[in-house]
Amino acid sequence: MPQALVDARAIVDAASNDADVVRLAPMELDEAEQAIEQAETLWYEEKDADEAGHQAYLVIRRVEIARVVTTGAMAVEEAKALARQREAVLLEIRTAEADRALSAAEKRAEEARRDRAAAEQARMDADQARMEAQQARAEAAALAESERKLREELADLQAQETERGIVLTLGDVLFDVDEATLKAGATQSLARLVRFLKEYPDRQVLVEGHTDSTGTEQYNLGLSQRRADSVVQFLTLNGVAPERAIATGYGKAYPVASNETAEGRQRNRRVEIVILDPGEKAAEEQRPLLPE
Amino acid sequence: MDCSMTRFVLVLLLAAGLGACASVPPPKLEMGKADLALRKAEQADAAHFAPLEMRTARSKLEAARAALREEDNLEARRLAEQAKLDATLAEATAQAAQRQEARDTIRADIEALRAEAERASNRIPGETQ
Repeated sequence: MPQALVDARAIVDAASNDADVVRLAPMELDEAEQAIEQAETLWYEEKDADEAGHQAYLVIRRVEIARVVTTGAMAVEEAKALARQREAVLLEIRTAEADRALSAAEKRAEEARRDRAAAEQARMDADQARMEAQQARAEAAALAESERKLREELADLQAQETERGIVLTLGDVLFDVDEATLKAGATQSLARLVRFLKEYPDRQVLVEGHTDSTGTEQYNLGLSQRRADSVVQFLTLNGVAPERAIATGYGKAYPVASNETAEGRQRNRRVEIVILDPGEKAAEEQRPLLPE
Repeated sequence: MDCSMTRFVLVLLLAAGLGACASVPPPKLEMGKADLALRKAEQADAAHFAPLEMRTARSKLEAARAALREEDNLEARRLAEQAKLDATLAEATAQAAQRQEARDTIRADIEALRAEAERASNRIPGETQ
């Protein structure tokens, strides 16, 4: 057997034992194997060394072809794997891009939601402020109206505002001389007072009887008390709660004019009705029986 | 002597010519196969990827044609057979090289994509501002 064929046989056998070649270039390997078989057979039949050398060349070329085909097929397999990998990377990138886009969109949506909420809040605040302003205006108007009304009513009562409160004075002429009985003129004034007290239930009154300096202390205190009592009795009889009106006789202790003249004495004989401010209690606001 | 010598030479030439003609016919089939293999290899751009094998195949086919012209049919057959496998190897080499190039292109694609993805993910803080 010429060395060329021996070498060629070895080269073929190496390829036959190469799993990659077996798997990826089976046809080319088969052709190489057949070629070496035929070359060996030919050698046994003809013993032609030149032909054997030629056949060995062909066999080796076939093995080379099988190996190159194997290399190409491996490249194809690798390319397929890499293509899958590329798809995975692309998917990864698109997913990441989508995630970024999504989170950016969510951020914008969240901002928009916040803006809308802020706008809505601002609108509600504005509405609220408007309503409050309207209410305040209405309240102010109502207050002004009620104050105006109160003033009118107080004017009706011919009351005076003093530092003690609103004072309604029933003069001496409205009582019988030395008597506590109310004359018709007094009941007219007191009827208006009753209406006023019914309209303003948070107001209480002090009813103070006063006299001039003539007569005994005993007599003056008694008369002034009786006259004050008469007024309170009128109020309670006409539906004013008893605790809202306290009667006190002060006698000559609190003159409003000189007792030297008849006219002064006339003015000192009187019943003063002090209309207390809302919330003030009559029981707490009485003045002492003698000036301090 | 002169005549017999001439006869001897004639017989010899005739025998050689007949022998050549009778033992080895012209390798038409092998020549055609080699030519076809070379054309296929050329179409596969083997001149670029396997220039050595292509040169070898071409020169062997030329040599086979020359041998055929000189009626050396045996040499022509061998040269044609070798030229055919040289061309086939050149074609397979070109094909394998192109497949490797295709694979390397995909590999480069992946690298480029990864680099782009890297830049994109690094860009996030900038984008959100």
